[in-house]
Amino acid sequence: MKRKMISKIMAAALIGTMCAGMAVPVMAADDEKVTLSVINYHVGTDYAAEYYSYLFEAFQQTEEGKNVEFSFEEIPTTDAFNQKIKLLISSGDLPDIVFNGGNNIIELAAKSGKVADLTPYLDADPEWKSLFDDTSLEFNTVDGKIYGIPVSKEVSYIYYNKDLFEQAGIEAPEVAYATWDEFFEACDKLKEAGITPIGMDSADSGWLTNLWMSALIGTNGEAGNEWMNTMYPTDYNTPEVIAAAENIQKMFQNYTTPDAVGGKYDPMATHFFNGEVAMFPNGPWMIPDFSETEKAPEGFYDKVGIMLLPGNGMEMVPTPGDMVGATDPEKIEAAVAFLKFETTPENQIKALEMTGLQPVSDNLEIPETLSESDPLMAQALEIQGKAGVTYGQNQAYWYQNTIDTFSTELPELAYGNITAEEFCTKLSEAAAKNLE
Amino acid sequence: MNTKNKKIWIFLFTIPCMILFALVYAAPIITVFYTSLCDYTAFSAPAFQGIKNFITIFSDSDFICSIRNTLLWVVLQSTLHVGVGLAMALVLRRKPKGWKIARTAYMIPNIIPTAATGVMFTLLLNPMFGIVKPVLDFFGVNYAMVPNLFGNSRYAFWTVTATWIFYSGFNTIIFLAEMGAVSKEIYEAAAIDGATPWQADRYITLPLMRNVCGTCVTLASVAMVSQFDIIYMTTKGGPGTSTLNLPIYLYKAATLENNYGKANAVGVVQIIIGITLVILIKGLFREKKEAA
Repeated sequence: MKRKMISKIMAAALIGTMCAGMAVPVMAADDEKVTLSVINYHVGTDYAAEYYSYLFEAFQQTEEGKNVEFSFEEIPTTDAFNQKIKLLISSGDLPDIVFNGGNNIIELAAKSGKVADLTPYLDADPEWKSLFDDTSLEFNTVDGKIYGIPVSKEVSYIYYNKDLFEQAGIEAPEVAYATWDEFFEACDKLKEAGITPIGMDSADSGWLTNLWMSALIGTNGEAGNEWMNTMYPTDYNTPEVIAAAENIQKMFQNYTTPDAVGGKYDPMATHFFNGEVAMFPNGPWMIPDFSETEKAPEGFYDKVGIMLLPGNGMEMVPTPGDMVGATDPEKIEAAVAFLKFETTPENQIKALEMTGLQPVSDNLEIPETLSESDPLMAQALEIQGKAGVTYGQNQAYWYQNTIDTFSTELPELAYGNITAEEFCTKLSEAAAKNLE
Repeated sequence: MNTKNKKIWIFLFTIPCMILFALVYAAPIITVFYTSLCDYTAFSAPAFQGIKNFITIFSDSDFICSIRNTLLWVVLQSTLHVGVGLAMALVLRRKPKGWKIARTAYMIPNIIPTAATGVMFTLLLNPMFGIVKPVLDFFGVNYAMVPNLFGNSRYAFWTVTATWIFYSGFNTIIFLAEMGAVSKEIYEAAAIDGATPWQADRYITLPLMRNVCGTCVTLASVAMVSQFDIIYMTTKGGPGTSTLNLPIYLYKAATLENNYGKANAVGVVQIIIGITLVILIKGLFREKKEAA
């Protein structure tokens, strides 16, 4: 009897211990932190540093993010970041959240098998999926699977210096020059008034020249527009691309600063801020810089106007999205939760206000206060709707080595060492290397 | 200790070094050689395919251009760069007034990080706000457009070369150390025989520099086969292919084309060129030593 009692007590104790044991992990799981590694290039003077700092902190205040901690590695400049991510794709040491630095590395990452397929997570949350249009999701899809969550759309316009236009006695068009001939006429008038008409560059990826070139092709009829909306083109010896290259040569030789050839983006932007060039192509993320007194003179913001590219053209491409490099299911869940938070309508608006990043979702309610707090941004959003033609640009659509060839051959084109046809042949040859 | 035991001890003491070499150098080199024969990209494991990568690179005019530029830089570095270092050492050896300051000043470019040197020259030679325009104006040179020294392929190769070719402080130090080891009595005897300072240099100093000159030429040549950072910082191999060399070509094949097999084929060519140069230079200087 006594033995039975002892057995019962021991059994009860054992069950109690088991129950307690089972309870402990539940409580532990509640408090257990998930650490997500992130390589962040939105640091220092990056246009979105403040916004991303807010985003990480705000996510940790949410229900999904309260147990998430971040382990950051900071890499200033997108160029260094992109190189590092490519190396990490090869070595398989990707961070848990893989930001996209502008280069289209979705296919590279997807084919390496080192990033998570996000299709099931989007399918499981139709509300989240409905925030993205088909084009944006297709852009981040490889072999039928979605690997990247686009966080913005990329658009670009021409910013112009109102004072310099006035000085040259030119009235800027309300939306855009109707034709490229009209645009070049304005350039001639600016030049006659001793003003350098446009900002261009060639170093790194030749970003500014790429925007001019994309516009020249994309607004050149149906064929040009179709070509400029083609992913990974391989034939550059088309009449539209050759004609664009001829114009680029003319622009380098007649309408830009002497240091544009071989020049990088930053000094060229400084020329615009200093009132040394009249027109500058770029995206809305440049708008906050106009009122940043460390970059531009005080009051510069009020001097800037916006127009579309000639022929009512506007570059508009879906952006390569952020990816998940985590392999542990718990970390994947946490990383996906962060991406969801990053793309909520509220945060898309916040990103627009703080950084100029264009919302990836259509029909978001833009706060009415924007036209007062940031009239230029409001104007940018308004003018987008007036674009007659949209097209892509090389950083999103061309092969990486072809973008590099574009950059290294631009000086040759600019100085007339090669013809427009030869320039296009070199681009075709570079693109062909990817098919070997 | 007999000879056999001595050899065993020598062998034992070299084991750590050999293990380190095997891990740090030999294993990667073997991997490079093997994967150069493979179809190997950023998203596919190496699969043997024979010499296809070598056929691809040797039929690419850009690659041939990169070899030509690399070899031209090897020649310039082995002659002009080492020559400048030697000339500077010959001047400093006589300890003229302010020689210590000159020696230190001449070393400064060698201790500045090459990335910083690249940025410095890019700004210095900027056609809009650099020194080119004021210099041309000072000398009254007529120009339609300020020469863009890094941006125009007509000047880019020589401009990039000028960022390092004259800064030979490292060689100067090596030569000075060797010159310091030459007995003063030899110079005294030459002076008694009526030799002028130039004759002393010509017939005593320079012949005694042959060995160390071989070392400097070897180091200079090998450095040029792997020269990367300053070219990347200033021109990235452009404009066109005017400053493209083997390391930049390799880098582009690996990072822009994501073709590691092709990049490693370039690496193999680079290694072979490097080893060939070392052997040739060694032979060249050994022959002269024997002849002397």
